[in-house]
Amino acid sequence: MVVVWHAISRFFPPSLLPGPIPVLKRVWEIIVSGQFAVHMVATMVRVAAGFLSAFLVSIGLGIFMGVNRTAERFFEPNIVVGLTIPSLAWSVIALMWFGISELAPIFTIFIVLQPLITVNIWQGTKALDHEVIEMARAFHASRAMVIRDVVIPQLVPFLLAATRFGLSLAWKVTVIAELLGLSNGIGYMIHYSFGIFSMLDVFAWTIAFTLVMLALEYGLLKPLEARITGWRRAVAL
Amino acid sequence: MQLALRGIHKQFPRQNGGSLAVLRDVSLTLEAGEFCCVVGSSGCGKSTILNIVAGLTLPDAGQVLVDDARLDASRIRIGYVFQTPRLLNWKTVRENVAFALRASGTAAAEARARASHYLDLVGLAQFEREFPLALSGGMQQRVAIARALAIEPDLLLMDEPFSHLDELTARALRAELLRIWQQARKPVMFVTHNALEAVYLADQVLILSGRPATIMKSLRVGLPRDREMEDPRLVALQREILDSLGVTAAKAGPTLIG
Repeated sequence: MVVVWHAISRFFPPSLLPGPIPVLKRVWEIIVSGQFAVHMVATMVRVAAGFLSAFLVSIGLGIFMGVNRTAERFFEPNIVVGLTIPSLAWSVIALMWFGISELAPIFTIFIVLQPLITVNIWQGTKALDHEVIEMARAFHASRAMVIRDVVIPQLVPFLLAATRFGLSLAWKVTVIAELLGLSNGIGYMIHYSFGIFSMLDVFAWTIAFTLVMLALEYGLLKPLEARITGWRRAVAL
Repeated sequence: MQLALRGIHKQFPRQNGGSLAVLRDVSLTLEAGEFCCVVGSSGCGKSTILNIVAGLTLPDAGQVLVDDARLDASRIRIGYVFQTPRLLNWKTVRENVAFALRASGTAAAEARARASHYLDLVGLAQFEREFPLALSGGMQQRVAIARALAIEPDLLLMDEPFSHLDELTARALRAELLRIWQQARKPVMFVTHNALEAVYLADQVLILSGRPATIMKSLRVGLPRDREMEDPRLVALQREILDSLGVTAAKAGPTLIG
């Protein structure tokens, strides 16, 4: 990919498509200058707050919808509506409601993610294997044991999937919110680079950000998934 | 302990609003240390009887008595072997057996040791660290049997535990089950649609009618315990069961009905 990029970049002026070497140099510069860390932390705090609040609410709501027919019928239309509203619209609405504050991006992430994660947990709850729950009851397992050893392990794949796409969506939503009306964060810096029309900086910020995302995915999420769902590997034997 | 069911009725609500009567006036007595087989055709409510004894389903009418006192399913240790293994696939084989022990209040270290002992008993000692999905169906069912035996139950409930296994595996496990039962001498309630299996295993065979099920007939198998499945006396008893179930010789295979 880098080689192709390098080859193509030779046919374009650097103001439109800078090559990988100057971009990586610039990435290095923004990292050692400390700028990257400042804005990355600002973005990460928003993502973490928005994602965690959406995740916690969704687990409760999703399980509730999975076990209660009335709750299911009541919340389902709300979720469908929530899923169809564009995240850009939420960003604008949040900025108008909360002004230029931390609350705006966090609210946007929460409101965009919550229906998506809820759907996942809800489906996971409906897919629970009731036969093993009955088995646990037959052996007099306590409620705590049933939840810890029988129910949660069955929900883990759904929780992991929700974490993965929830996080990736949260980054994108944050960047949009930052681009629209905040004064720091990765999205703001991309917007700022656009303002001074520096394609080099747009590329550098985007790539530095993507590298952090990849590190999180391969350094944290993937190993975590392999650890928790290791028992599935047996199927491949 | 002695287990008795008195006048059990059970019906289940149906999707269309009506109800389906499953059990009608089921009464039976299981003496201490007795091996009792309940035979009936598929879907006649055999599993419902076990679920009622296990306290998983409440009867609409009637009583379950243990030594003439009303059964409190949470007070006696019940080992339940289901038709399918129902293992926790995310736990190792040993953890699965230990799970039942932990559920009945055994300390963690002792649960692990006893799980190993019972896995050894069913011939799975070298698989205790595997995950269930790496095992064959027959081996998984043996784990389920080890799980039920490990809690050293006061009463063992078995719901067609061998019906999904090939006949060779099933024969080996039946013999093994009898050997373990003869040592422990705890009452067993074993549900099956296989009449020959029933007469091979049981002291007492109860024959259920079709839905709503009631006990049509009770049969004593007075043969000594070194039984052979090909024993002509067992085959004759099997014939008797099939006749009462209304299975004619032309319709029935040599061992199976329904």
